[in-house]
Amino acid sequence: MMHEDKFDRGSALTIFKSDRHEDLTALALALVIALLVYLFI
Amino acid sequence: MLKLKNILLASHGTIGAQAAEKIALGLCQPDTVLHHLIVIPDLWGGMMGDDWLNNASTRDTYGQYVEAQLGREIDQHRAILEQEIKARGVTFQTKVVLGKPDQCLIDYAVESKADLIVIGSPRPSEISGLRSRMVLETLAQALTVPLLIAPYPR
Amino acid sequence: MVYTQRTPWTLVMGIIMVAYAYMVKSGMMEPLIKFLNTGRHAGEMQTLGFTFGALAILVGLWQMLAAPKEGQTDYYLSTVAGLIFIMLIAFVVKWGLDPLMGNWGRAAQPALGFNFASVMNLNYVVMGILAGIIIVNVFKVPGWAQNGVRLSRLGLKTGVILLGTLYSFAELAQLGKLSVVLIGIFVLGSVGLVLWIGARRKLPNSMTGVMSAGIGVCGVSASVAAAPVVQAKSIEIAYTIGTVLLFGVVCMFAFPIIGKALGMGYVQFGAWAGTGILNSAQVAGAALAFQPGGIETLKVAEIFNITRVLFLPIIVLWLALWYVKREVGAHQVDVAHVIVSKFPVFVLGFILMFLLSSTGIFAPARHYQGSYFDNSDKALIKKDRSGKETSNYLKDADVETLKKDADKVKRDDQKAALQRLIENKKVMTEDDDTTLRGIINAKAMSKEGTAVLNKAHRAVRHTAAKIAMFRDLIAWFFTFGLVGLGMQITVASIKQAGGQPLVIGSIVGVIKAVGSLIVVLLMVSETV
Repeated sequence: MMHEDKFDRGSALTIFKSDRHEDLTALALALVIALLVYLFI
Repeated sequence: MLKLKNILLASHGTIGAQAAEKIALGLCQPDTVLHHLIVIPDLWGGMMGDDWLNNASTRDTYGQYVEAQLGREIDQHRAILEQEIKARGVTFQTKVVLGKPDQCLIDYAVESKADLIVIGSPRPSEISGLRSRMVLETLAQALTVPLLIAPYPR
Repeated sequence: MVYTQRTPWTLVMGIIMVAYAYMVKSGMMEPLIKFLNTGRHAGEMQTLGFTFGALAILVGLWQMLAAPKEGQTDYYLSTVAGLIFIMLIAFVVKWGLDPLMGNWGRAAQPALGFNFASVMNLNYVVMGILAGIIIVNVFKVPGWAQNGVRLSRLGLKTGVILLGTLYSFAELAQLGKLSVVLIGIFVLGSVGLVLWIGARRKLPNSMTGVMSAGIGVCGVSASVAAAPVVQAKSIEIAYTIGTVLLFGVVCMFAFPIIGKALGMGYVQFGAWAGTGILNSAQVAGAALAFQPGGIETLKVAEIFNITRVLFLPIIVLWLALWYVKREVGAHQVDVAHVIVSKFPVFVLGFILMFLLSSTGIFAPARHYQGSYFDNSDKALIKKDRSGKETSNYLKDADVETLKKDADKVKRDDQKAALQRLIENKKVMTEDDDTTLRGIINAKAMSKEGTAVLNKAHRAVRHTAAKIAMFRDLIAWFFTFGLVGLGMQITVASIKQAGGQPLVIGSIVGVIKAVGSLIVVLLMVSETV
């Protein structure tokens, strides 16, 4: 039962389940991009 | 006279639907089963619109709130109708589904083996309310049993 | 459950992207690129085409051949198909439809008397959002793409965070102050106005509450945050959200058209869109629609958007307290909880990125806004894709023009700088550049002479490559996010606009749009 719950993410309008994960992922993604730009451009 | 074993009543408590409820109840014969269908229109799926800045928790709270609120409103409506049905001693069943109103009605007509379907007439344009109507043409083409449309009470 | 849906489309889209990028690279697309005049995009066509195409082919093959097991890998990889779907739409719109509309607009101009493509702002941002709206309402978003479409807000948030790289301290301080004043007046004003009208018309508190949030603060998002707090009825939510969405879509088209007709500048338009448009997603859309080729307007508008977002917890708190006072049996309000749970964390990311950028790691600090001085041959002589060289040195005719006007310049330092420019056919130092701009600003020369000076200035002023890259990336993230958000605007929900919220929303929405327009035109000048 628990196992099933874990991968039923419903149909909320974000793919992130828990609170703030989306914001933090956005921040992480932005930082990675900034690093890439810093290193390679 | 039609032998009515199963009557399908589609109603969600609006004024037009209440007229349909009255007619359906009036048509019930001693051994008739009244199948009450409540459709939650699928337009609710789009009711978060293009919100993009709320946290997941805010959206969850909203989603749960809307579901619960729709549930409460349906319960209120059911309580009123069921009181009346019971007073008349009619056997009844209630079903709540989520989807497109006309398609849900067509599906449930088959499932409930209805002999007659009763619905309310479309809301006049001067009265405001949720915009989600049965497309009568779709119904007329797909239904295999008679459809009764209660006139709008004026 | 397993989220990956077995579909050949991921693979097909990947092959299309790679094939297109390859054809651009090999020169087969040259006639089309020439026809559409999209040569400046040829670089990104290849990079983006190969990158996203390769990703799609890999994931597409995996989806076709492997049997995905339920778990994180399956879940996150299931978003790739939708991501590629949105990107493909964005590619088609940006590299195909946008320039095509431009061509049609110019072709139809003699017949119509105006250029419909530029008057209607039929650029890639507007058409991308429209494409999203059309897909969800006419065709439905394919099942395999649904999960990826949910990535769109991640795209927007990342775009906002990256935007932090583009501001200077002075700019942020000035825009911040302006936005707090304008948003403060108009948000608090319209929330108050709706509450007042609601009370006068004796509307239920729950309806007035959800309506004031939606119409006053930031549209759908505020309604979503406020509806549970004020215990709104289902029909009240439907009316409000329908009204806000309807206004949002109308404003996204109307604002840029009006803004252009009034000849508004980037800062003015950004401030107006950021204050006057009800729904916050359409603020970004309108800003990019107004200025698709650059992001100065977006920079201004997003500061206003962020300020609005920061007002959201305050308004929700206000409404909660307001509702508790009026209704018996309402939930008590936990002030700290409301503030913390509604606080948008991505705004902190924006500030972090701004601080990071202001250390000067992306462009040296004296490169104000990423622009710097370079007059070497490397910077002045450019090769285009076919290998043809163009020189940004002044031409002999330009020099003659300057010589003719030279005696109009009176100050010694300006004379000397001008003399050096004439001798070398380029601006020699950064100080000279500043001095020469003094001549431009003083309008000391004839029109032709000033034009030549401007040309010389542009030749030695360059945008830092890193900053230029950020600008391009930000525009792409916003495009991606807005196309995806377009796919969440359903006609069925817009149709719910009605009841008192439509009446009051129209009144307050128009007051806010016109009021902020007047204030912006009076208060905001172009130079921030």
